[in-house]
Amino acid sequence: MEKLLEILNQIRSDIDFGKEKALVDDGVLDSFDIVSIVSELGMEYDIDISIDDMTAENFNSAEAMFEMITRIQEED
Amino acid sequence: MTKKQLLRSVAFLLVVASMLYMLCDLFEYQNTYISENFKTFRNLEKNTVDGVVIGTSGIDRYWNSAKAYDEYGLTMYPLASDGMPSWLIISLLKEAERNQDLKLAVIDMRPFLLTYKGQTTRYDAYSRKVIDALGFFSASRFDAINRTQKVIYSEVEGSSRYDMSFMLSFIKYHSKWEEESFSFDELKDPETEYLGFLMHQKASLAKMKTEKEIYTTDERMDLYPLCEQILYEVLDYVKDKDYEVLFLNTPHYLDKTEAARLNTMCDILDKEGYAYANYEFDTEVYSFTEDFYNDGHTNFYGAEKFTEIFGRYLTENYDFEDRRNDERCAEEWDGVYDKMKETIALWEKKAAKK
Amino acid sequence: MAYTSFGFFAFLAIVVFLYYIVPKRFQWAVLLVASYSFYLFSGIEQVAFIIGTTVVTYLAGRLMQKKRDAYKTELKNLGPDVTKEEKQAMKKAVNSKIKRIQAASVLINLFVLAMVKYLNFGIENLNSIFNLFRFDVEINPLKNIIVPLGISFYTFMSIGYLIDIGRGRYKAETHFGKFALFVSFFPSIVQGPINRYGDLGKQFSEEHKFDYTTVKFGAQLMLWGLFKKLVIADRVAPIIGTVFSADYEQYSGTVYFFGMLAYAVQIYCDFSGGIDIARGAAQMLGIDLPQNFERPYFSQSVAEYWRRWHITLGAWMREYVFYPVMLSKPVTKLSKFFRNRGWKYLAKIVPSSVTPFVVFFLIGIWHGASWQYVAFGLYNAIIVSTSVALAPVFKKMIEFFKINTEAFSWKLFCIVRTFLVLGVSKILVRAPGFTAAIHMVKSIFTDVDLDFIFALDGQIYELGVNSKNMFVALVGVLVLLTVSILQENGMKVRETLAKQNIIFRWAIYLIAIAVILVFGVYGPDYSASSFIYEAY
Repeated sequence: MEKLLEILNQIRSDIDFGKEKALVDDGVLDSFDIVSIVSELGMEYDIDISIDDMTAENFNSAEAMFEMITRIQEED
Repeated sequence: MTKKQLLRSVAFLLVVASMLYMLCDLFEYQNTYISENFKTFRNLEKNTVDGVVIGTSGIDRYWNSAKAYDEYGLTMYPLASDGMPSWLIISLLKEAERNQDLKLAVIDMRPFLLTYKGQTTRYDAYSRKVIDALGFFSASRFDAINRTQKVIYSEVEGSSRYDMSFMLSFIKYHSKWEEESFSFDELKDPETEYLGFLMHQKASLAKMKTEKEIYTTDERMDLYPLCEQILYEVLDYVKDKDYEVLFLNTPHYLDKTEAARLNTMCDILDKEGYAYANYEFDTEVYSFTEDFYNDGHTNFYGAEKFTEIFGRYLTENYDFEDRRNDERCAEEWDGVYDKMKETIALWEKKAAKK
Repeated sequence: MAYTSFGFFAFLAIVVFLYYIVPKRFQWAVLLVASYSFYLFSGIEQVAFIIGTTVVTYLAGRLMQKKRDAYKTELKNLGPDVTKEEKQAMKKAVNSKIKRIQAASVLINLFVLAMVKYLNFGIENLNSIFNLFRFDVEINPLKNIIVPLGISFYTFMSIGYLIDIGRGRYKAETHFGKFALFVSFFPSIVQGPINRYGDLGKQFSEEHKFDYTTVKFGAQLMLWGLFKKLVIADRVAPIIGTVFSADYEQYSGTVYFFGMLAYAVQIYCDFSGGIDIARGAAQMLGIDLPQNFERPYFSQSVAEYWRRWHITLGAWMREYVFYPVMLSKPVTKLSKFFRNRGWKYLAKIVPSSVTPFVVFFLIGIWHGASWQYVAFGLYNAIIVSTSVALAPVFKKMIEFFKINTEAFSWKLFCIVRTFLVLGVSKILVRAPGFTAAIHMVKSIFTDVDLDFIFALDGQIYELGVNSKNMFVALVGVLVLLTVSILQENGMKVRETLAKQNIIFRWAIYLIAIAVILVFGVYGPDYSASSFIYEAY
């Protein structure tokens, strides 16, 4: 989780990822941010985030992203 | 929905409805003495009218009903409007029959001599003058709307079968304010009326500058198909009525087409057995430079002459009681002619000053 | 039947009435009948298209669902003994089946759309290519192609549905009637919003009790939409026709600029007004349709503008074009390629500045089958891509000049800048041809006509809208601007209004109704001259 927050902060330093709960729904992140996050996470965790995972719920908060990462890692 | 909300909604809708009514009233088409004339007719005492004279400006500039009352005791009301289209004659007959036990219906021959093709914007407007003048919920208004719609739909390519704006004139007139020429005076109610006779500060006094050669012919020319069809519809409509019908042509200048069509129309009426009074322009009686403000319409003085002549014709040929003895007529008809003459005197004085 | 016609209001009143008196489980049926009745008003031939799309999409959805369900039961039956590899193989097999069904059905939908909307455009271009190479061939464009009402919208909705089912976002609709309703729902069929099944579909299965406030809010939203459309948009519309006509050359740059402003006002008021009417009508039925506009002219960048203008189209493009392209194998490989060489900046920037071209090309031709719209798409793509690519540079510059990006003046600058940049793209699509567009944009800077600005020569009133109309439109725009600023600052106008005294509230409603009735553009033209009787 620490590592995740660090990655996220590199992408958008102006957002407090620990607090925000509706990053997508409230429009805090735009689609370019999300794509950056996906590619960073793919690299750092060595996972394939597929298009099927691209839902608002998966990216609304750092926790949600963390859960998604764990799930994908388990499935692999 | 609670009871309170229901009450509130109903109350709100009522307020909206009354606002709508006010807006419609404010923006109705009101050039016009026409609406006032029709309103006066509607409000006349039941069965106090001998008959009506239905038609165009060839009627309300000629037939001074107040004078005819004063001199002959006739109550023949002009139900006329500018350029009234032939297809509204039946609607106006229906309007006349509503409250009055007619003895005679006089019908203007002018609308049957016209060609409507390519003139539909104008005739749309002329139809609206009549439609808007009739009682909002009256059957004759619905009848008039229906007939106008039918004609416009069949004559104008691409027109819609149901134009809501005939029913709710606000749809058309709400944009009145857009015109550069618009002034708030247009929203005011029009001046007083004179029992269906047109009193107009300019037209009543104006005279033509030069005389005009009258055109006469023996030739015949077919009526415009729509007009012919409507003529037969009118004849069919009045066939079984228990009032008499008289077609009337008031004296004016006729062009080649109109003159030839008038002959045809007289032939048709002869054949069908209907009476008509065809007043040609009699130079012994009228002069364009004295009695006419243009070649198609008498001024006040010409109307004096025509009313005299046609009034006499009516009393001699029909059996009317003298309405001057009918006290139900007194309120509306007494003194109108005197008032008219006063007004004319006043206008003459004003004109002389200039 | 236009949403601004009396016929539509009467129709809606009847539908609302029936909707709330029938047993709740038949409410969807009322809406389905209403939607098809509405559709039939625009012609009977068109119905075949929408029914075709509905059937194909419905069946494909069911089929994909069946495959997925079968896979799940099989997995369950196999129990815990199955290995990870076996599981993955099974998953792969079923996914490829599903993807095949998905691709086939999406292609069918796209094919129909392309046939009616883009075939003649294609033929025209083919002819010019033949011409270029001096082939003596010419294909005649098809005449009288009927473009079924709302085909772009319902096709996109159907494609979105198919992709979502393919991705396993939700289960396929089993009820054919409700699905047909989703595709044809009458408030949004003409001009959107582009609904997503996940949001709209389930609402048709819910019971909707009559709720006074909801219905009232719906009616108010419709009223607001009518105001925007009839009082503002339709009133300024003649200016646009005049300025961007074939005789454009007679005007100065300032007139073009004014025309651009008028077009910006007109297109926003017309489109968002129409959407307000649609959403208001749906709200009266207890159905929520998504927002399609969020005061786009307050955007501080072009990218933001596209998140606030025609939101549902943008969202559609993001979900079904942008993300898939960004996550596609070639793009991720390219990204990896740069990254492996240590070019982090390129790894990040190249995909995000290339993909907008795909998205905006599609957005361009979605709006219309012409090269001008393609150019419009490219223009937007260039701006979005450059601003993404140069973002680090801008960031440095802002730091260097110590610009306070929170200051009002900076925000205002960004808003105006964005508006003007987009103004150019508006001229690009509205001008009568490319040469005209370039001439216009150039003249704006070179051919300034001060007399026009201060209305000294009155030319401003000779562009098809006289001074009275112009005044009404201007007051309308000011009202809209005020309300928009309030909304931008978080005020919920309808909720705030509901808290006011009844007299104030009713006065507002009555004034609004009266203003729309008197100052709205509708009904046959009134020209005083036709009423004048020449016989005077």
